Amino acid sequence: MRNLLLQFCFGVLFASLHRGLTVFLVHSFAPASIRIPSDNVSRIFYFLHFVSDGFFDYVLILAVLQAIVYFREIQQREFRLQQAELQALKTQLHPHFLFNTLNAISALSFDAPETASRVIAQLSDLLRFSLKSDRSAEITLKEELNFVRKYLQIQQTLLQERLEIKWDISPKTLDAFVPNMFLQPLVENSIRHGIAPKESGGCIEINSRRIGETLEIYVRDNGLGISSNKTNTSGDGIGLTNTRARLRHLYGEAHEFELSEPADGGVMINMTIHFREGNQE
Amino acid sequence: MKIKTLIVNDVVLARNLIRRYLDKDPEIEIIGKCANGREAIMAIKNLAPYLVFLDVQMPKIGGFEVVETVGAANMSPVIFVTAYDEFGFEAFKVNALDYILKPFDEERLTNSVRHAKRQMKFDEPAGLRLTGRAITE
Repeated sequence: MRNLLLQFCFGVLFASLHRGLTVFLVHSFAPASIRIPSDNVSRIFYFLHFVSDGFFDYVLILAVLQAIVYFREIQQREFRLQQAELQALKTQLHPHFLFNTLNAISALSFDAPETASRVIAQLSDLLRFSLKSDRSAEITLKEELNFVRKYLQIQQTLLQERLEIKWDISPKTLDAFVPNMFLQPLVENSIRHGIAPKESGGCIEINSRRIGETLEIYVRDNGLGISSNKTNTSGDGIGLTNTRARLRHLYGEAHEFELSEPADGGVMINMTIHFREGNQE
Repeated sequence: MKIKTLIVNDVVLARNLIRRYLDKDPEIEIIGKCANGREAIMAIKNLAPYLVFLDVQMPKIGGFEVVETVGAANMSPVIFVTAYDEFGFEAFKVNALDYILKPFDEERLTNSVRHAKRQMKFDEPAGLRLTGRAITE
Protein backbone atom coordinates (compact mmCIF):
# COMPACT_ATOMS: atom_id res chain seq x y z
CA MET A 1 0.00 0.00 0.00
CA ARG A 2 2.82 2.34 0.99
CA ASN A 3 4.56 1.34 -2.19
CA LEU A 4 1.50 2.23 -4.25
CA LEU A 5 1.29 5.68 -2.66
CA LEU A 6 4.98 6.23 -3.33
CA GLN A 7 4.52 5.20 -6.96
CA PHE A 8 1.60 7.61 -7.26
CA CYS A 9 3.67 10.51 -5.90
CA PHE A 10 6.50 9.70 -8.29
CA GLY A 11 3.95 9.47 -11.05
CA VAL A 12 2.64 12.99 -10.34
CA LEU A 13 6.20 14.32 -10.05
CA PHE A 14 7.18 12.68 -13.34
CA ALA A 15 4.03 14.00 -15.02
CA SER A 16 4.72 17.55 -13.77
CA LEU A 17 8.31 17.45 -15.03
CA HIS A 18 7.11 15.98 -18.28
CA ARG A 19 4.59 18.76 -18.58
CA GLY A 20 7.09 21.44 -17.71
CA LEU A 21 9.50 20.19 -20.39
CA THR A 22 6.74 19.95 -22.98
CA VAL A 23 5.52 23.46 -22.22
CA PHE A 24 9.08 24.71 -22.60
CA LEU A 25 9.50 22.91 -25.94
CA VAL A 26 6.09 24.00 -27.22
CA HIS A 27 6.82 27.61 -26.32
CA SER A 28 10.19 27.50 -27.97
CA PHE A 29 9.50 25.68 -31.23
CA ALA A 30 5.81 24.90 -31.89
CA PRO A 31 3.70 27.05 -34.17
CA ALA A 32 1.48 29.55 -32.41
CA SER A 33 -1.72 27.58 -33.12
CA ILE A 34 -1.00 24.75 -30.69
CA ARG A 35 0.47 26.95 -27.97
CA ILE A 36 -1.16 27.20 -24.61
CA PRO A 37 -4.70 28.54 -24.89
CA SER A 38 -5.26 31.91 -23.32
CA ASP A 39 -8.64 31.50 -21.52
CA ASN A 40 -8.64 29.96 -18.01
CA VAL A 41 -11.02 26.99 -18.62
CA SER A 42 -9.04 25.79 -21.61
CA ARG A 43 -5.84 26.21 -19.64
CA ILE A 44 -7.10 23.82 -16.94
CA PHE A 45 -8.04 21.17 -19.52
CA TYR A 46 -4.73 21.71 -21.24
CA PHE A 47 -2.91 21.23 -17.94
CA LEU A 48 -4.91 18.10 -17.05
CA HIS A 49 -4.27 16.69 -20.50
CA PHE A 50 -0.51 17.07 -20.08
CA VAL A 51 -0.48 15.70 -16.55
CA SER A 52 -2.55 12.63 -17.44
CA ASP A 53 -0.46 12.08 -20.55
CA GLY A 54 2.71 12.25 -18.50
CA PHE A 55 1.24 9.94 -15.89
CA PHE A 56 0.35 7.41 -18.56
CA ASP A 57 3.93 7.50 -19.87
CA TYR A 58 5.18 6.95 -16.35
CA VAL A 59 2.90 3.94 -15.87
CA LEU A 60 4.08 2.54 -19.20
CA ILE A 61 7.75 2.89 -18.28
CA LEU A 62 7.04 1.37 -14.88
CA ALA A 63 5.26 -1.58 -16.48
CA VAL A 64 8.24 -2.26 -18.78
CA LEU A 65 10.67 -2.07 -15.86
CA GLN A 66 8.47 -4.37 -13.78
CA ALA A 67 8.34 -6.85 -16.64
CA ILE A 68 12.14 -6.89 -16.82
CA VAL A 69 12.45 -7.39 -13.07
CA TYR A 70 9.85 -10.16 -13.17
CA PHE A 71 11.58 -11.92 -16.04
CA ARG A 72 14.91 -11.75 -14.18
CA GLU A 73 13.29 -13.21 -11.08
CA ILE A 74 11.89 -16.14 -13.02
CA GLN A 75 15.32 -16.80 -14.50
CA GLN A 76 16.91 -16.68 -11.08
CA ARG A 77 14.28 -18.95 -9.59
CA GLU A 78 14.95 -21.54 -12.28
CA PHE A 79 18.66 -21.26 -11.64
CA ARG A 80 18.12 -21.75 -7.91
CA LEU A 81 15.95 -24.79 -8.60
CA GLN A 82 18.74 -26.34 -10.65
CA GLN A 83 21.24 -25.53 -7.93
CA ALA A 84 18.97 -27.14 -5.34
CA GLU A 85 18.75 -30.30 -7.36
CA LEU A 86 22.50 -30.39 -7.79
CA GLN A 87 22.96 -29.80 -4.08
CA ALA A 88 20.46 -32.55 -3.29
CA LEU A 89 22.43 -34.94 -5.43
CA LYS A 90 25.69 -34.01 -3.80
CA THR A 91 24.69 -34.19 -0.17
CA GLN A 92 22.98 -37.53 -0.12
CA LEU A 93 25.67 -39.05 2.03
CA HIS A 94 24.54 -38.23 5.53
CA PRO A 95 27.24 -36.42 7.58
CA HIS A 96 26.40 -38.70 10.49
CA PHE A 97 27.32 -41.70 8.35
CA LEU A 98 30.59 -40.06 7.37
CA PHE A 99 31.63 -39.29 10.97
CA ASN A 100 30.62 -42.71 12.28
CA THR A 101 32.64 -44.31 9.50
CA LEU A 102 35.69 -42.19 10.29
CA ASN A 103 35.35 -43.13 13.94
CA ALA A 104 35.11 -46.80 13.02
CA ILE A 105 38.24 -46.47 10.88
CA SER A 106 39.96 -44.94 13.88
CA ALA A 107 39.03 -48.00 15.98
CA LEU A 108 39.98 -50.43 13.22
CA SER A 109 43.39 -48.83 12.80
CA PHE A 110 44.35 -50.44 16.13
CA ASP A 111 42.46 -53.74 16.04
CA ALA A 112 42.48 -54.56 12.33
CA PRO A 113 44.67 -52.27 10.22
CA GLU A 114 43.88 -54.22 7.02
CA THR A 115 40.18 -53.69 7.51
CA ALA A 116 40.79 -50.03 8.30
CA SER A 117 42.63 -49.67 5.03
CA ARG A 118 39.82 -51.41 3.15
CA VAL A 119 37.15 -49.16 4.67
CA ILE A 120 39.21 -46.08 3.78
CA ALA A 121 39.28 -47.27 0.16
CA GLN A 122 35.53 -47.94 0.17
CA LEU A 123 34.78 -44.57 1.70
CA SER A 124 37.06 -42.83 -0.79
CA ASP A 125 35.19 -44.46 -3.67
CA LEU A 126 31.89 -43.27 -2.23
CA LEU A 127 33.17 -39.75 -1.75
CA ARG A 128 34.76 -39.62 -5.15
CA PHE A 129 31.50 -40.66 -6.72
CA SER A 130 29.29 -38.35 -4.70
CA LEU A 131 31.58 -35.34 -5.09
CA LYS A 132 31.75 -35.71 -8.84
CA SER A 133 30.22 -32.57 -10.29
CA ASP A 134 29.65 -33.65 -13.88
CA ARG A 135 27.26 -36.45 -13.09
CA SER A 136 24.66 -37.34 -15.66
CA ALA A 137 21.04 -37.69 -14.59
CA GLU A 138 21.04 -41.39 -15.41
CA ILE A 139 23.56 -44.22 -15.16
CA THR A 140 23.38 -47.95 -15.68
CA LEU A 141 22.04 -50.13 -12.90
CA LYS A 142 25.42 -51.85 -12.75
CA GLU A 143 27.16 -48.55 -11.88
CA GLU A 144 24.43 -47.66 -9.41
CA LEU A 145 24.77 -51.05 -7.70
CA ASN A 146 28.54 -50.66 -7.45
CA PHE A 147 28.02 -47.49 -5.47
CA VAL A 148 25.30 -48.93 -3.23
CA ARG A 149 27.32 -52.08 -2.61
CA LYS A 150 30.24 -50.03 -1.27
CA TYR A 151 27.89 -47.98 0.86
CA LEU A 152 26.33 -51.13 2.30
CA GLN A 153 29.72 -52.75 2.93
CA ILE A 154 30.62 -49.80 5.12
CA GLN A 155 27.26 -49.93 6.88
CA GLN A 156 27.94 -53.61 7.57
CA THR A 157 31.27 -52.67 9.08
CA LEU A 158 29.43 -50.27 11.38
CA LEU A 159 26.41 -52.43 12.22
CA GLN A 160 28.18 -55.79 11.88
CA GLU A 161 25.88 -58.79 12.26
CA ARG A 162 22.87 -56.52 12.74
CA LEU A 163 22.71 -55.78 9.01
CA GLU A 164 22.10 -58.49 6.44
CA ILE A 165 21.83 -57.80 2.69
CA LYS A 166 20.11 -59.97 0.11
CA TRP A 167 20.67 -59.25 -3.57
CA ASP A 168 18.40 -60.56 -6.28
CA ILE A 169 19.44 -58.72 -9.42
CA SER A 170 18.48 -60.09 -12.78
CA PRO A 171 21.57 -59.99 -15.05
CA LYS A 172 19.35 -58.76 -17.88
CA THR A 173 18.74 -55.52 -15.98
CA LEU A 174 22.37 -54.55 -15.37
CA ASP A 175 22.68 -52.34 -18.44
CA ALA A 176 19.36 -50.60 -17.91
CA PHE A 177 19.32 -46.86 -17.29
CA VAL A 178 18.30 -45.74 -13.82
CA PRO A 179 18.38 -42.33 -12.11
CA ASN A 180 21.83 -41.52 -10.78
CA MET A 181 22.17 -42.21 -7.05
CA PHE A 182 18.56 -43.16 -6.49
CA LEU A 183 19.14 -46.41 -4.57
CA GLN A 184 21.45 -45.14 -1.87
CA PRO A 185 18.90 -42.81 -0.19
CA LEU A 186 16.39 -45.68 -0.18
CA VAL A 187 18.70 -48.15 1.54
CA GLU A 188 19.90 -45.39 3.84
CA ASN A 189 16.30 -44.78 4.92
CA SER A 190 15.85 -48.50 5.52
CA ILE A 191 18.93 -48.59 7.72
CA ARG A 192 18.37 -45.33 9.61
CA HIS A 193 14.68 -45.73 10.30
CA GLY A 194 14.14 -49.47 10.01
CA ILE A 195 17.19 -51.49 10.98
CA ALA A 196 19.54 -49.33 13.07
CA PRO A 197 16.79 -48.49 15.61
CA LYS A 198 15.95 -52.20 15.96
CA GLU A 199 18.01 -54.01 18.58
CA SER A 200 18.22 -57.28 16.68
CA GLY A 201 18.90 -55.50 13.39
CA GLY A 202 17.43 -56.71 10.14
CA CYS A 203 17.75 -57.50 6.48
CA ILE A 204 17.54 -55.42 3.30
CA GLU A 205 16.50 -57.08 0.11
CA ILE A 206 17.27 -55.44 -3.23
CA ASN A 207 15.57 -56.90 -6.26
CA SER A 208 15.51 -55.97 -9.94
CA ARG A 209 13.82 -57.56 -12.92
CA ARG A 210 12.65 -56.76 -16.38
CA ILE A 211 9.00 -57.30 -17.19
CA GLY A 212 8.30 -56.63 -20.85
CA GLU A 213 9.22 -53.04 -21.50
CA THR A 214 9.45 -52.05 -17.85
CA LEU A 215 12.16 -52.25 -15.24
CA GLU A 216 10.98 -53.11 -11.75
CA ILE A 217 13.17 -52.50 -8.73
CA TYR A 218 12.23 -52.95 -5.15
CA VAL A 219 14.00 -52.32 -1.84
CA ARG A 220 12.51 -54.09 1.11
CA ASP A 221 13.51 -54.24 4.75
CA ASN A 222 12.18 -56.08 7.78
CA GLY A 223 12.92 -53.21 10.14
CA LEU A 224 10.63 -51.26 12.41
CA GLY A 225 8.27 -50.03 9.71
CA ILE A 226 6.71 -46.59 9.47
CA SER A 227 3.79 -46.86 11.88
CA SER A 228 5.85 -48.16 14.80
CA ASN A 229 8.70 -45.78 14.14
CA LYS A 230 9.27 -42.84 16.40
CA THR A 231 12.66 -41.79 15.02
CA ASN A 232 10.99 -41.06 11.70
CA THR A 233 9.39 -37.76 12.56
CA SER A 234 9.91 -36.07 9.22
CA GLY A 235 7.37 -38.03 7.18
CA ASP A 236 9.09 -40.12 4.57
CA GLY A 237 12.31 -38.16 4.91
CA ILE A 238 14.43 -36.03 2.62
CA GLY A 239 15.56 -39.09 0.70
CA LEU A 240 12.15 -40.08 -0.56
CA THR A 241 10.96 -36.55 -1.28
CA ASN A 242 14.03 -36.04 -3.43
CA THR A 243 13.58 -39.36 -5.16
CA ARG A 244 9.94 -38.60 -5.98
CA ALA A 245 10.80 -35.15 -7.33
CA ARG A 246 13.62 -36.50 -9.46
CA LEU A 247 11.56 -39.34 -10.91
CA ARG A 248 8.83 -36.87 -11.86
CA HIS A 249 11.45 -34.58 -13.38
CA LEU A 250 13.07 -37.41 -15.39
CA TYR A 251 10.08 -39.52 -16.47
CA GLY A 252 7.00 -37.34 -16.00
CA GLU A 253 4.02 -39.59 -15.38
CA ALA A 254 5.71 -42.61 -16.98
CA HIS A 255 6.86 -44.15 -13.73
CA GLU A 256 5.57 -45.70 -10.53
CA PHE A 257 6.99 -45.16 -7.09
CA GLU A 258 5.23 -46.72 -4.15
CA LEU A 259 5.97 -47.07 -0.51
CA SER A 260 4.12 -49.81 1.33
CA GLU A 261 4.21 -51.73 4.58
CA PRO A 262 4.08 -55.49 3.98
CA ALA A 263 1.91 -57.48 6.39
CA ASP A 264 4.96 -59.24 7.89
CA GLY A 265 6.64 -55.94 8.83
CA GLY A 266 9.18 -53.47 7.52
CA VAL A 267 8.93 -51.15 4.57
CA MET A 268 8.87 -51.90 0.87
CA ILE A 269 9.59 -49.44 -1.92
CA ASN A 270 8.64 -50.33 -5.47
CA MET A 271 9.87 -48.43 -8.47
CA THR A 272 8.82 -49.09 -12.04
CA ILE A 273 10.28 -47.21 -14.99
CA HIS A 274 10.54 -47.74 -18.72
CA PHE A 275 13.27 -50.24 -19.64
CA ARG A 276 16.04 -48.62 -21.67
CA GLU A 277 19.43 -50.22 -22.21
CA GLY A 278 22.59 -48.16 -22.09
CA ASN A 279 25.42 -50.50 -23.06
CA GLN A 280 25.66 -49.35 -26.67
CA GLU A 281 27.12 -46.00 -25.63
CA MET B 1 39.04 -46.90 44.58
CA LYS B 2 38.82 -47.04 40.82
CA ILE B 3 36.33 -45.05 38.74
CA LYS B 4 33.74 -47.57 37.66
CA THR B 5 32.97 -46.75 34.04
CA LEU B 6 30.24 -47.89 31.66
CA ILE B 7 30.48 -47.60 27.85
CA VAL B 8 27.23 -47.28 25.91
CA ASN B 9 27.31 -47.15 22.11
CA ASP B 10 25.46 -49.07 19.43
CA VAL B 11 28.52 -49.25 17.17
CA VAL B 12 30.83 -51.97 18.47
CA LEU B 13 33.88 -50.32 16.90
CA ALA B 14 33.10 -47.10 18.75
CA ARG B 15 32.88 -49.05 22.06
CA ASN B 16 36.20 -50.68 21.28
CA LEU B 17 37.86 -47.36 20.60
CA ILE B 18 36.65 -45.80 23.85
CA ARG B 19 37.76 -48.91 25.77
CA ARG B 20 41.17 -48.88 24.13
CA TYR B 21 41.83 -45.30 25.20
CA LEU B 22 40.40 -45.81 28.69
CA ASP B 23 42.40 -49.00 29.28
CA LYS B 24 45.54 -46.89 29.53
CA ASP B 25 44.20 -45.02 32.56
CA PRO B 26 44.91 -47.02 35.74
CA GLU B 27 42.22 -45.11 37.64
CA ILE B 28 39.48 -46.26 35.30
CA GLU B 29 37.81 -49.63 35.57
CA ILE B 30 35.42 -50.58 32.78
CA ILE B 31 32.56 -52.45 34.38
CA GLY B 32 30.39 -52.94 31.35
CA LYS B 33 29.58 -52.20 27.74
CA CYS B 34 26.08 -51.73 26.35
CA ALA B 35 24.84 -51.70 22.75
CA ASN B 36 21.51 -49.95 23.32
CA GLY B 37 19.47 -47.80 25.68
CA ARG B 38 17.61 -50.69 27.31
CA GLU B 39 20.84 -52.40 28.36
CA ALA B 40 22.20 -49.03 29.51
CA ILE B 41 19.26 -48.34 31.84
CA MET B 42 19.63 -51.78 33.45
CA ALA B 43 23.38 -51.44 33.80
CA ILE B 44 23.21 -47.96 35.34
CA LYS B 45 20.56 -49.09 37.81
CA ASN B 46 22.33 -52.35 38.74
CA LEU B 47 26.01 -51.45 38.51
CA ALA B 48 25.82 -47.79 39.61
CA PRO B 49 28.82 -46.64 37.54
CA TYR B 50 30.64 -43.43 38.44
CA LEU B 51 31.06 -42.45 34.83
CA VAL B 52 29.06 -43.28 31.69
CA PHE B 53 30.15 -42.75 28.10
CA LEU B 54 26.75 -42.43 26.44
CA ASP B 55 25.72 -42.44 22.79
CA VAL B 56 22.83 -40.18 21.73
CA GLN B 57 21.27 -42.14 18.88
CA MET B 58 20.67 -45.79 19.71
CA PRO B 59 18.05 -48.43 18.86
CA LYS B 60 14.70 -47.68 20.48
CA ILE B 61 15.94 -45.82 23.54
CA GLY B 62 18.38 -42.98 22.88
CA GLY B 63 20.90 -41.46 25.28
CA PHE B 64 18.62 -38.66 26.49
CA GLU B 65 15.83 -41.13 27.21
CA VAL B 66 18.28 -43.19 29.23
CA VAL B 67 19.03 -40.14 31.41
CA GLU B 68 15.32 -39.39 31.71
CA THR B 69 14.34 -42.96 32.57
CA VAL B 70 17.05 -43.46 35.19
CA GLY B 71 16.17 -40.09 36.69
CA ALA B 72 18.40 -37.20 37.72
CA ALA B 73 18.79 -38.48 41.29
CA ASN B 74 20.17 -41.87 40.27
CA MET B 75 21.97 -40.86 37.11
CA SER B 76 25.71 -41.30 36.91
CA PRO B 77 27.84 -38.47 35.50
CA VAL B 78 27.65 -38.62 31.72
CA ILE B 79 30.02 -37.89 28.87
CA PHE B 80 28.12 -37.96 25.60
CA VAL B 81 29.89 -39.45 22.57
CA THR B 82 28.08 -38.95 19.28
CA ALA B 83 28.41 -38.17 15.59
CA TYR B 84 25.63 -35.56 15.84
CA ASP B 85 26.74 -32.03 16.64
CA GLU B 86 23.27 -30.61 17.31
CA PHE B 87 22.50 -31.98 20.77
CA GLY B 88 25.24 -30.24 22.73
CA PHE B 89 22.96 -27.71 24.38
CA GLU B 90 20.47 -30.39 25.39
CA ALA B 91 23.32 -32.48 26.75
CA PHE B 92 24.50 -29.78 29.13
CA LYS B 93 20.93 -29.20 30.25
CA VAL B 94 20.96 -32.74 31.67
CA ASN B 95 24.31 -31.99 33.39
CA ALA B 96 26.58 -33.77 30.96
CA LEU B 97 30.25 -33.44 31.87
CA ASP B 98 31.29 -33.29 28.24
CA TYR B 99 30.07 -33.75 24.69
CA ILE B 100 32.53 -35.58 22.45
CA LEU B 101 32.03 -35.63 18.69
CA LYS B 102 32.97 -38.64 16.61
CA PRO B 103 35.55 -39.15 15.34
CA PHE B 104 37.74 -38.31 18.32
CA ASP B 105 41.36 -39.00 19.21
CA GLU B 106 42.98 -40.15 22.41
CA GLU B 107 43.79 -36.65 23.57
CA ARG B 108 40.18 -35.54 23.29
CA LEU B 109 39.03 -38.50 25.38
CA THR B 110 41.70 -38.25 28.04
CA ASN B 111 41.06 -34.50 28.39
CA SER B 112 37.44 -35.28 28.97
CA VAL B 113 38.28 -37.93 31.57
CA ARG B 114 40.60 -35.49 33.36
CA HIS B 115 37.80 -32.93 33.43
CA ALA B 116 35.41 -35.57 34.82
CA LYS B 117 37.85 -36.56 37.56
CA ARG B 118 38.28 -32.93 38.60
CA GLN B 119 34.52 -32.48 38.79
CA MET B 120 34.19 -35.62 40.91
CA LYS B 121 36.88 -34.52 43.36
CA PHE B 122 35.31 -31.10 43.57
CA ASP B 123 31.91 -32.58 44.28
CA GLU B 124 33.04 -35.33 46.65
CA PRO B 125 32.93 -33.40 49.97
CA ALA B 126 29.40 -32.30 49.26
CA GLY B 127 28.34 -35.88 48.73
CA LEU B 128 28.57 -35.70 44.97
CA ARG B 129 26.01 -33.26 43.75
CA LEU B 130 26.37 -34.60 40.25
CA THR B 131 25.58 -38.18 41.03
CA GLY B 132 23.76 -38.33 44.28
CA ARG B 133 26.16 -40.99 45.45
CA ALA B 134 29.72 -41.19 46.72
CA ILE B 135 32.60 -41.57 44.29
CA THR B 136 34.30 -44.39 46.17
CA GLU B 137 32.87 -47.18 48.22
